[in-house]
Amino acid sequence: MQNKQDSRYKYTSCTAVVGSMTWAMRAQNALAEHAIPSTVVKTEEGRGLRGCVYGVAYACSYDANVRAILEAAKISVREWNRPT
Amino acid sequence: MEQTDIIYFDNAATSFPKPMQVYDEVRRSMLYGGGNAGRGAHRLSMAAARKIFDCRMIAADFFGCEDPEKVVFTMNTTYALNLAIKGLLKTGDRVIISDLEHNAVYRPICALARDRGIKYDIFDTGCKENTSDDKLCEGIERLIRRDTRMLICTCASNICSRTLPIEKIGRLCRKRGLIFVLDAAQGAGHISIDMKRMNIDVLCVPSHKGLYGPQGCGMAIFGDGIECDTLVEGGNGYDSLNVGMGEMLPERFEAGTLPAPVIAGLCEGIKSVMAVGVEQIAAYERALYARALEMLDNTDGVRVYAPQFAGGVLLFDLDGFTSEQVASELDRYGICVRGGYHCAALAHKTLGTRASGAVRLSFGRYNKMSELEAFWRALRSVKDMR
Repeated sequence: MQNKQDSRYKYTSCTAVVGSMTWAMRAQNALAEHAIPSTVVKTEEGRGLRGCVYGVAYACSYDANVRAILEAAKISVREWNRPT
Repeated sequence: MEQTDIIYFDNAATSFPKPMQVYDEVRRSMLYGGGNAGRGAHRLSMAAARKIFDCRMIAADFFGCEDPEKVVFTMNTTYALNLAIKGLLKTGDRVIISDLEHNAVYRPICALARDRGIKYDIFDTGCKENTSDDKLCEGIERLIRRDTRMLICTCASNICSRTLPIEKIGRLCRKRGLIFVLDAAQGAGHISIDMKRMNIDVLCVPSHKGLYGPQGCGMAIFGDGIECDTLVEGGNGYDSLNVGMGEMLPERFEAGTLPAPVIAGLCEGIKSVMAVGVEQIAAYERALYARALEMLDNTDGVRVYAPQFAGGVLLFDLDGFTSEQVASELDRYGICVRGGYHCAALAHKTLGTRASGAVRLSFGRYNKMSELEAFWRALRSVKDMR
């Protein structure tokens, strides 16, 4: 069964790479508190981390809000990625 | 014998039964969330990861910790204590422990004394002379030296109902710059614990006792600014191509697969304790204790240890029988108690029962007053065997 929404997030959304699964969940919760939908995604690397790195993908229209929310929640983002 | 015929007074070893929601959630987790948390991003892995994260949040909230990532899941309380003790103490450090410590504290401390040359001092909890909290803290203060780095103590004894003045001890540790590690194997779920208010730096708790979760999991919950070495290294789901465990909590300390169904059950156990209320549970256990003490006081040949402390644990012995004989005979009546030394050599020495051990009754919220009547009848029958 294909999860179309996840695929869309991965390839067309912005991503905040945070590191571990727990921190990705924290980021997702922080965004949910501000009614911003996001999906936990796994990537190959983030700054200083190599292999198995987690982050949250969200619609790029929320980008400015997401940056402010994660900063306020003291969630350190290793990389901000936009779709190419 | 059906389990409904069993009278279970061994809740200090592991609580039984569990709330029905715990059994249900373990089953649900295994059926519908059976992936490996933090090891992928597919839906079953995510379902397990979400449940584990929910448990971190519930546990953090329950114990007054602001950050769910500081909740580290371990195999059990012993592992959590070993992590704190061996991850924080360095060669030449001095540590203070209480005279009621379980082997989960005493043995790793003794191992570090042998291997790293750490030194330890033992404070008197005043079990025999009913020491005031202030006097107890004065006793601790007298033991603090220039190289004392940590104080580690039990929240509540596992062989009697003595509880320690955690808030006062925490305040003293903060004032004197000591790391405060609390073994809450017996206290969690029976005593309100707030890490921030009590200045606890590392809180070590089990799933399977007062929190009514399954066996197979414990927690080390860290306070602010604690830098701890790892105890075990391995896969933790992130930064896989680097050789270190990384700096991110909790994964830094969680090598290997977590028991997601157990943690899911623990989450429900904590919720059930929150729903009933820690104070209500403790008050009920005190009522059970009072009734049991009344019965035992009226039984010739029975001696109760530290009876002045009412709570979930009652220690006694019976003239003419070893503690294991009493436990074994009671088991024939379907009554589960524990004899022997309860993995607590230091505490038994403190109570004067090191030579022969003693019989422990330990109560839980599902015990009934009527079960005490059955216990009393059975104990008198055992006594009459002589």
